[in-house]
Amino acid sequence: MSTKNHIIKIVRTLHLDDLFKSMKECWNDPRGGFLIPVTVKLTDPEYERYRHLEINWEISPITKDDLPEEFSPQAVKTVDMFRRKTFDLPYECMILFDYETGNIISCNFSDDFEDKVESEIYPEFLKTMHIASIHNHPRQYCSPPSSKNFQMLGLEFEEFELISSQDELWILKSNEIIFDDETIAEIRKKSDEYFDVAMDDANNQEGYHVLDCQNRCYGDMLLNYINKFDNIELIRRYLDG
Amino acid sequence: MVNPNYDGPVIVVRDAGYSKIELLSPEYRKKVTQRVENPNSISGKYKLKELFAEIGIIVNPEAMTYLYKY
Repeated sequence: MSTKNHIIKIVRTLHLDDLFKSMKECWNDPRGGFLIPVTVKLTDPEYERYRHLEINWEISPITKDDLPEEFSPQAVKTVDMFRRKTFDLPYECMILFDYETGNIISCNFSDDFEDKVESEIYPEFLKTMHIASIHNHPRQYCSPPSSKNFQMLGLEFEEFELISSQDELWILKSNEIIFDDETIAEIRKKSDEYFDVAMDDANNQEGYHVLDCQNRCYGDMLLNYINKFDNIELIRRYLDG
Repeated sequence: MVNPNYDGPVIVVRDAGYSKIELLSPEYRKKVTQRVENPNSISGKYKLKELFAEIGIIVNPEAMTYLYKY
């Protein structure tokens, strides 16, 4: 629903038409007028959609032991609920949240079954917050971060990037320095190279082990490479489905 | 890297990861199916069923023989 339709709905629901008429009269003749300041909160349709996603209670929970120590109990719950809500989704969802309060800041979906999800963020409004993001890798995609997943290394406001998949949770932490474009490009290039190496390795396996080996080999190489950098930490947690 | 003096919106983009379906492109699919041990055995067919189920493709193990004709 467009913002305009939202406003029309609010106006009708709250019977604000009369208020607007009286305000017009007030502007024309302000003598003796009484001005009421009004704050209007518009509901984000994508957040509403996220709220109503079905929760999968069959999978094992994410606990505080799976997450960095900076995450509050409320943030642990936010991450656990995200995984439960997105475990069965065939498309991507991403939320940004405050890892101290657990509050969700933004929510977006990749509706067209694209292989990416986008969100427009105004960092100006996030200065007092502690921002982490989490997105899901649907079951038809590999678990580890791909080469396109390292944008947060260049973002000042984002300190943790989490990736939730069917059987793994990946945590990328970098909250001290901002990396330049060249370093990020080098990391992405190396990731693609490791993926190709892992693919060759996987193809030496028996048929039904290919995907499993691909996930594991590429993930191992990525962990070894990324964790050699100062100020970046990449963590893999194995989860039960 | 975002310019520290820039106060406009930032587009945050997150990738879905490497596609398993691309790994099972015709080129790789041929390699994968050829390497299954005795694909016509019951266990081989059901292992392939699990493999395809993981990426959301439902196959009938009993009608799976054609897969190995690629």
